[in-house]
Parts: sequence; structure tokens; C-alpha cells
Amino acid sequence: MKSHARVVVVGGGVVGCSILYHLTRQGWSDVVLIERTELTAGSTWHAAGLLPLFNMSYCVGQIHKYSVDLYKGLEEETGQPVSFHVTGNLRLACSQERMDEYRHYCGTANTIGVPFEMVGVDEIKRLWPLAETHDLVGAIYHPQDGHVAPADVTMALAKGARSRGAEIYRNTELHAVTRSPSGEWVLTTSQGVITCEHVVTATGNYARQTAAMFGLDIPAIPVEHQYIVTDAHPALEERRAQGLPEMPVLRESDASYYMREERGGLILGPYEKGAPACFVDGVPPTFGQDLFPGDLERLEPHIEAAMARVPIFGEAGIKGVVNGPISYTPDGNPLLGPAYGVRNLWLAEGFSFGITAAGGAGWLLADWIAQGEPPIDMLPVDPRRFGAYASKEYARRKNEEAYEHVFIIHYPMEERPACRPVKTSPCHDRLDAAGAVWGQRYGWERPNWFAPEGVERRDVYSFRRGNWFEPVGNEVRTMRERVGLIDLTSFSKFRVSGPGAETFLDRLVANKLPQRTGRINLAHALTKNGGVRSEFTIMRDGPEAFYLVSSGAAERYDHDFLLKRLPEDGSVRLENVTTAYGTFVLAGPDARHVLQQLTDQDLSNAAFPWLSGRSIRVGLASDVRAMRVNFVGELGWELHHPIEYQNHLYDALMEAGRAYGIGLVGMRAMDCMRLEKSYRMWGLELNREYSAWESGLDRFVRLDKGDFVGRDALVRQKEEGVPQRFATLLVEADGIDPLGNEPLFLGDAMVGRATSGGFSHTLGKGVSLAVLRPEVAEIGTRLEIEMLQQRFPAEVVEESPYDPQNVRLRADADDALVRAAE
Amino acid sequence: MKVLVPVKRVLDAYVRPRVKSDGTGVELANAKMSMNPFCEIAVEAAIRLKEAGTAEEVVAVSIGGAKASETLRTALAMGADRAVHVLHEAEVEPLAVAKLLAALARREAAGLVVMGKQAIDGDNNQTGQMLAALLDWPQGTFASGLEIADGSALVTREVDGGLERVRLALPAVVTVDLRLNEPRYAPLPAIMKAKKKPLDTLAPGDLGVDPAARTRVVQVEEPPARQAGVKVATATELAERLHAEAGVI
Repeated sequence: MKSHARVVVVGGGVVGCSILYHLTRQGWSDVVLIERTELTAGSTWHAAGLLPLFNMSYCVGQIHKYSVDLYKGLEEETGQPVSFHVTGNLRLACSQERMDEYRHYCGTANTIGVPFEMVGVDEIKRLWPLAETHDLVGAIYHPQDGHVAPADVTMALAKGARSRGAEIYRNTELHAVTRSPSGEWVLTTSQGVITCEHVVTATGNYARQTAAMFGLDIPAIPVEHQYIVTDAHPALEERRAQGLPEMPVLRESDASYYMREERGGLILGPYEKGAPACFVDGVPPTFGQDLFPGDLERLEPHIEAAMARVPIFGEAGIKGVVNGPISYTPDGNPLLGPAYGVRNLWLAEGFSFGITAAGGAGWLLADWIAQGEPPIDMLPVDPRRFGAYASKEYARRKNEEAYEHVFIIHYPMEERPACRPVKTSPCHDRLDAAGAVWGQRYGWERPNWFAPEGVERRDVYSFRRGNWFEPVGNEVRTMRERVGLIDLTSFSKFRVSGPGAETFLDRLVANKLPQRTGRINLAHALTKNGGVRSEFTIMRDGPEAFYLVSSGAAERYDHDFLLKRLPEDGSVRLENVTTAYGTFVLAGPDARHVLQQLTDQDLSNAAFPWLSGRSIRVGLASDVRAMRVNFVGELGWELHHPIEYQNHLYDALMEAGRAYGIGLVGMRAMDCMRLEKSYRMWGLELNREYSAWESGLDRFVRLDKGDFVGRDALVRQKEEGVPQRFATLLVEADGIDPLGNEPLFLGDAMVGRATSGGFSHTLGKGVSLAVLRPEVAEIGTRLEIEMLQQRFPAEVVEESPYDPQNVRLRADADDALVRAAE
Repeated sequence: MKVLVPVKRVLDAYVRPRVKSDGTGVELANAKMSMNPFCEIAVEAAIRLKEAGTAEEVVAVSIGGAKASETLRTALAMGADRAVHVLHEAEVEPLAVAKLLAALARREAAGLVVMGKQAIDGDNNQTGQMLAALLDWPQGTFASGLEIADGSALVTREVDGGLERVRLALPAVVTVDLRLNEPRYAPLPAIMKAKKKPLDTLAPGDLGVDPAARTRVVQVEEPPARQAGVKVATATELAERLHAEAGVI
């Protein structure tokens, strides 16, 4: 065994082997994989080998697409056959709502370039003549995917990696991890000690045990998944004898199962309710390349549905039930990327669609390790999307939920019930009493909207318009016309201070830091390629102190980013003060009147201008950091208050606002308002895939301020031409609103992709934020947006179609002037 | 004629057995368990007799812990008519099994007992023979053929160097070998229906048998790990090493 390597990949399943393979394709030959037993032991060997291209996520969809393309060429490259059966994949719909889901997905598929066809009942019958079709509405057919032999793919990847210099050590178990004084990893294994620069863990069932060796607690816990294998059936053997092709992999979403042919018989794999998480406290030492006993009882409703759909399935003898552990995470996406708080440790854990994802995961992670950046935005799979709340017990319950939800209708606004509430603001009960319909992000409960009396207090989802449409419209009007209160306690908040603070931050963000104490700037941390990594609202607290606010879901992502870059000389102090402060947004034309009643601080523009902040007393609450910024585009303040004052502050503001008709506003109304203002959302418009220029952040980029991360790339891109431009579009459609991920067309040419969208209650139209080819991004260009497979007119309009001059948020004390101007 | 088919729940044939860390036995916790493959062949033989009209009823029997009922359900799904579960959590030795089966065969007035020649866990190959002796019935062991006609069973036995055909007067005990038949896989509707078929549970005491063990396991050990092979360059070297090192030629 080697004593040194650049990278050690821990785990010889399909994911680990793919990472090793792709590292060698990056030219990194000094790479090693260690496997505690044999390659594929764990979950790879018993996987059903399916390669579904269907995925609602722009990121995960690209990962899957890459895998399918890669596996098709692996045999030619390595000489190792992988048994890729390109059977296609037919996903049935029994309802119009399900068809809407597929039609919505078509937008994502088009932007990624995944080929598909929507097919009717006749075509379903032609593709799957042995299926009953009388109750079907239609289906979506992917002609290019199918299934593959998981062990063969793993061996092919291993072979490809070895041929470029990688070494694989089997029967080599990781026992202990330490760090050398120079920062290298020292891994003690059952076969010896190996020192390396980077460690990648791809340990499937062992994810939590491996992570614990590195001091991490990660929410990857497997769930039992079963599939049933039948004996040969004469009808299928007859088809073979006639030379007919294998039928596509069949998925009946509404009955939650997949089915495919296997050696003249069938395989049925249901995603059922009640499948238990397993190995919650680790894998028992006696568990090797093993399976669990089958439990057909749990599968019965799915079995019955499958027999009704495919009668021969009920006729064939059952050869066996394969019940094995497959990795899961609370949202069903893998943990792929840098580990939180630990340098040069990369996670590739929690793959529930491991075979489908392995190729793409290897590609992206190897790029990330070798190039410092992945080629696409990977936030949906980034391990840092989960915080400390994602504990073992949380993962156990959420992972079971994710499993059970594999085939539900994937509404973009869907909220899931398990493990809630877990994080609440102090004013939670007050908001609840006011009718909040709750959503959850990063563990935080946040009101999505407030159900007025007489409106059912739950989400009724739709790909067209949910039941919250009117109440959200009223919340928007409350804030636009009077004054509203939003609880944004979930915001991530950091304090950066010390003699090196200014230099440290200045180098990390593209905008200038606020120069005077009490000033606020919006600043973006970029990747070295100029992509947008993070967005911070930065307020200067003093010569050596800054207060940073970012998205609630970015807490670990941003904290990790700052933490790993802190200078080693101790000149900068970083504090995560997220839970020390609550945040209310008080905004609307009457916000000043409401707040002024509760404070001695003069709130006029002269004393308290836009983009400034100061510590004030509000009612009985002291040390309230009032910041004159907000995400809705009205006169208003963010009130960052010591958390213990929250309920007092809430009561005082609501009481002071009563005369002005103050109302509570939820996240969906806020999203509508930020769209009307063309405010970019971190994770949607703002991500690593789009450069600061492409995201239209020009006014927040100061090339003249000196060097900062990403500057060189931005300069280069400006010279070479910015490939895409950010645009705001207004959409004319009746009863359908853009949701994001839609393709935009000029004639037949796809010219852009919407990153988010919604209905503008103020403008009475749909609004889309999008990245477009520059030649179609000019104001006034008429394009078409594809929603639910229909095209609708979409016109590029000037940025911030609501109040483009920002008159309202700069409104002075005499805001009668503003109203007169309307 | 009523056919009694004993079936045993064992570690699945495709699971690699692992010895418990304290050396007291094979680790069975959470392991995949299945019907002993020779028992499957016996069930198949019995239901074929029923399908041929030779047998009126097929009764599956299992002796074991609560989970043994799952194995009985498998037999019922394949086509057995009803099942008897002799519930006993501890390991039962061949002699006690034979006594329990003898009591059941008498109680059920069985005309034929068809069973596996051995179970793949203990590989004892004793129960059938002991059972025949206890009942004082004729026995046909290692059966690769079985025909019933005129009150007798014609059994083809796999013996060293060939096949032996014996005729047994019924009632008799037949233990089956690998090549008797290829057991069927039950289709799902049969598996579901099997849940509703009658399954009686008895205690060993109900049959007047004390199943206490007469032997004591001293220690169970893993077989020694296989040494890695070596590649030889020539046939001559191979021959030399087979002679000098392996001592086989």
C-alpha cells in the first residue's frame, strides 16, 4: 500500500469508483481508493440499476443526464461491458394533476436538454402492450434511459481509474483519522497508514460512522427498499422469441412503483409507506454484503396496483424479494461537496439514486476538487444545506419521509410534515394564532401566508394557482398600500470583527464595503470563476466591526465559507449570531408612522437615510438594530432585535400599527414583491453557475476597488463577452403563473432559462426573472415562455417593473408626496 | 391420502454465514432467512402428488420460533393446504424433531411423510431416518424420483455409483434429494391467499415430547481463510509444485 496520495477516496461503491475515475480524468493519477471489503458491497450490488432521467431539479437532472451519457460509452472506453439496456422509461399518469407535474417537468427537461415525449394512451399501449391502459390519462416517455448492471458499471469505472494510475485497495478498512501538523490527512487503515491532501468519503451505509471519525454529524441514514423479482413468464419469453424489444421501464407514479423486465420475468420496486430507516446507530459488524428479510405485507397496495396494471405480474412466480439498505437524506438529494467546517474533506454520501447519480456526482466532485469549482450550481446537493438541527433522529424520520415521497406529485411549493416544528421564532404562537400557514426552510418555521377567516388553513397545491393566491394578493396590497410585518428571524447573521476584518471581507466580496459606521451595502462573494457564491447585506458597526446578514438557508454554507478563509493570525473574529437576534421587517408607506410612535430616533431621511442602520430603542426593547433596507421595495426597516424582546416588539408594533391597518405578511407575498422589484434570490438567480455579470449585479461589482476573489474572471469575461444576461419579463397567461425553471423561446430557438417566477399582484401579470442570451435581453424584446407545455408571450421589461426609480423605498418623512405621485 | 411435509427455516443459501463474536453459533439476527432448499423440493413433490390426485391433503409442518410461521406461509403459498407450527424458540436436535414429527404423523394419520434429506444449516441428515425408525415405517432416502401407485411408493434413490429403485409399502417416509424436481415460485395472488389458509400452533408438550437438547455446542469457528493463489509460469512448474508443495501428484 502506498504511504502517500493526493486523494484518498473511502468507499468502493459505484459513487466512490466514479469519483476516483473522474479524478484520473482530471489528470490526477496519484489517487487511491480504499474499500473495507469488496467493491460494490453495501448498496451498489443489490441496486435495481435503473437510470431515470426524470428529475424535477435543474441540478440533479444534469447529474443524472451526465451519468446516462457516460455509461453508454464506458464499455467502449474500458472494455468492461455494463449491460446498458436502453429500453426507455415510461411514466404513467392517472390524473390531470399528474400530467401537470410532467408538463411542468418538461420545462426543466428542455433547459437541461433531456429528450422526452408526452404520449397518449394508444402510444402507451404500443410501448407496453401488456399493460392495462383504460384508466390512464397519458404518460411521459424518455426514450434514452433504461437500466444498467450496477456492479459492472462499478468495475468499469474502477478499471478506467486504474488504467490512469489510480490504485484500489480492497479489504482495507479505515480505522482512525488524524491531521499532520502541516494539515495533511493521516489515515490509519487495516492495511497500513496513508497520508493524503484530500479525503473523499463515499461510504453509503457507513456515512454517519465515517463522518463521526472526522467530527461531523451528517443526516445520511439508509432506508430499507425492496424489489420483487419474478420467475420467467411465457408472455415475456414469447416476446423475446419474436425478437420484440424489451419494454420500457414502467413507472406508475400514482401507485408509487417501478417495473421492468428481467430475464424473461419482471422486477417490481414499490416506494411504500412505512419502510423503516436502518442502521440508525451504525451498521452492525456482522452485516456484510447482506440483505434484510422481505416484507411483502408493506407492499401489498402497490402489488395489487401492479397486478391490475400488468396482469402477467400476478401470474408469474415470485423468485425472491430483495430488501436492502439504500442511503437517504432528509430531502432525498445526496450530500455532495465540501464538508462543513473541515478543510479538504469532501462528502459523497446519502445517494438514494446512487447508480443514476454516480456518474454525474463523480464528474462534479472531481471538478470541484481539481479545479476548485464545479461546472454547475450544486446548492441542491451541497452538504452544507443542512444545519445542526439535522440530527440523527431528524434524519431517521425525514429520510423515511423522503423515501415515502419519491413518487408524490412534486409541487415546487410543497411543504412536508415530518419533524415539525423544529426551529421556531419566539413569536411563533402569535403568528399561529393569526392564521399562519407554515412552511419550513433550514428547520425554521416560517409563515408562507396567513389564512383569513373562512379560508381553509392549509396549502392546496396546484401547478396553476394554489389556494393561497387571493390571500397572498391581499398581503401584498397590505404592504404596498399600508404597512406590513414579516418575521424573518431565520436570517443568518454573523459578526466579523478585529483589526483584519476590513481587509478580510474586502477581499471576499465584489462590492466596496460600507465606509462609514452605520452604512449598509449589498455585497456578493464570488467564486474564482466569477460565479455568485453568497450574498451578504453588510453593515459597518465600527472601524473594525461588521454585521453580515444572509439567507436563512445559507447559515452553514456562508459560515463555512467565512470560517475556512479566516486568516490564521487571529486578526479576525467571526461570530455566528443567528439565534441571538430575531428579525422583523416593517415595511410599507406607513412604516415610518408606525415605528416613529415607538422610538425617539428621528426616522426622517435626513436622520435615517436609505441604506443606513443604527441601534435604537423600540418600545421597551433596547439595542434594536434598525436597518433601512428590505427585500420588498417599500419604505421600511429590518429590526434585528435581541431575541428576548421579540414578543414585546411584536405586540408593540402590531398595536402601534393598528390605526394604520397593519397586517402580517408571509413568505409567498414577500417573494411576489421581490420579483416585482427584480431582486435576485440567493440560490435561484444568484448561484455559482452564473457570473456576477450574468446575474446583472453590475452595480454591486467594483472592479476599481482592488483585487477580490473572482475579479480576474469577471475582467476576462467582460473582454470576451458575457454569454448571458439577467432579465425581468412580464408574462401574459391566464390562470398559470411562472414558477422558475421554464425555458424561454424566440421562435423555435431556446434563448434562456427562467430562474424564478410568480404572479405580480401589483402589476396583474406573471413575472419571470431569467438569464437570456444577450441578443434577446434588450428591453422590449418579445419572447415566449413555456409553462405546462404551452407557450405564452413574455416581454423583457426594464428592471424592477414596480417602482423602477426606487421612489418608495427612499420616501422621506412627508410621504404624502409619494402618494400624490402615484 | 394425507401427506405431511416438514419444512425448516434456515439462513438463506446465498447469505455468507458469520460466526457470532462469542463463538456460540452462527449470527442469525437480522439475517435473511429462507425455507431450506431441500424442504422446498419436498413441498413441490407433495403438491405435485395432490395435483395428480394421489394425495388429498398436504399439511406443512415446521418446528421453530415465531418466525417459522413465515416459512409455513411460503409452503402454503406454493400449494400446501394447511400448516402446523410447533412453536419452540430454542434449537431442536434431529432426534427431538423426529419425535415431534412422529407424534404429528400419528395424530394426522398421514399416509406419507415427504421431507428434505437434510437442512443446509446443520447438514445432519438424520431426521428422516430417525423418524422412519420411530414410526417403524419404511424409508426411501435421497429420492430423485417418486411415484405412488397401488398403496406403495416407488422411490428412485441417488446412491454412490448410480440409481437404486425401491418400493415402499405406505405409510412411509421419503427424504428428497436435489434432483427430484425444480420447486415452483408462488405467484403473488397465491402468496396473499396463503395468509388466510389455516395454520395451527402447538407446543412440543402438546405432542408429549420434551425437546431439550442432549448435546452442547462447545465452540463454533470460522473455517480458516483461504490462502491467496499463485500464478505459475509453465506447466512444468505447475506439475513440480503440485508434486513438491501440494503433494497431490
